[in-house]
Amino acid sequence: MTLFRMGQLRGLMLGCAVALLASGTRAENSDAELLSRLPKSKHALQEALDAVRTAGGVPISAKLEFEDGKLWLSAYGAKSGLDKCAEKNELFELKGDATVEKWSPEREVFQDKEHLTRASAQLTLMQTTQLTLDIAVAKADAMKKGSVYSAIPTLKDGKTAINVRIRTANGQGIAVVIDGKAQ
Amino acid sequence: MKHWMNRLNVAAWGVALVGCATEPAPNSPAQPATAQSVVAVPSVVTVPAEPPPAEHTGEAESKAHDDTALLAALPSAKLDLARGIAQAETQGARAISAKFELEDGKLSLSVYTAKKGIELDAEHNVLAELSGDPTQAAWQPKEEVFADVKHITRASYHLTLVQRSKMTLAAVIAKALAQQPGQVYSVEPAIHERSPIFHVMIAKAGGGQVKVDVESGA
Repeated sequence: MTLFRMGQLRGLMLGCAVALLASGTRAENSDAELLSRLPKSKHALQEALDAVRTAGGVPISAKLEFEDGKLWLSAYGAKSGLDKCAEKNELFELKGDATVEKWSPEREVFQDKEHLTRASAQLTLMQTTQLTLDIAVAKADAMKKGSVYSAIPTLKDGKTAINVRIRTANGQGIAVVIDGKAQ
Repeated sequence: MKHWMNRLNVAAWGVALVGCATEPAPNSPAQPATAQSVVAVPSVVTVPAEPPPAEHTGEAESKAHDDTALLAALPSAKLDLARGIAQAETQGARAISAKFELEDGKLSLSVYTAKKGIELDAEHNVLAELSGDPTQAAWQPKEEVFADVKHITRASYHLTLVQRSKMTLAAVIAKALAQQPGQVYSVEPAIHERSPIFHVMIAKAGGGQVKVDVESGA
């Protein structure tokens, strides 16, 4: 490893609070089916982030998920961006089949409690960090541990962070927590 | 940076902070224009350049035009905001914002709560409001668990910011009163320059009101 590459790695480690969580948790067990299906996706998370922006919003989370027997690519967005609080924003999801050649997401504006509370909290967390989902995904990608399939803002030790999930080459799921202060 | 995190800012209406709700009109009678309210503002705006700050709910701001009538009604309250918050924080509930307000011309005390405390996020919590007449000997609020878009999003925002901060509402009120004596009639979390803060509205003994921004230390 060259000095340059070692420096890069050191910088990455300094910029990120990395928590690699071993598999075996309840969440990961429920992820088992998802992890086995992920290779069938023809689309990356970044495509969903870009689609939210193309739709005029700012992405506040994104994930590949297995639901109703299908693999979906989904992103939550805030139509009025990060400058408007949840109450004054429009919170929506772009979601579509991840296994087809052309990802054609449907847009749903949240009206129900489950999704409104989740999206409101995600928006608020993204408003309290300078880190973007794109940067978090890029940092996780740079670790070369596998393919990123989820990027969701969270609270870690009272601070905003982004929980990025990665499928490793051997099909395991790991979590990388990117500190909200990383840039 | 530490001094910045610890300071209190007393800010004028419509100065420096951009609200989520409608700002009061420049000539609003509720608008204070004290020298004191301008003092700390420069330190707010000289923070190193960052992306545009996220707006905050600023619900107090949207109600500014009502504050003259509200201030006149406040002395009839039999309990203060801190006591109302303490009463609301029973059985594991935590207050996430609180205010006196006029409802159909009558004084009301409203406390938003996260019934399962602040360890659980909004999605897994129960977000509710306790509101009732504070002019009676005992405050006997009615509880409403939020089910509508406006209140769910507002309460989720408040809860998330309280989770992000390091202060209870009681501590926020105490800190604000140490800076500006008076009667606190509203405390709500907000965001300024990517950090959680609390807007505290205080009715001054000599008349008028002032907004104190308490930084959360987060």
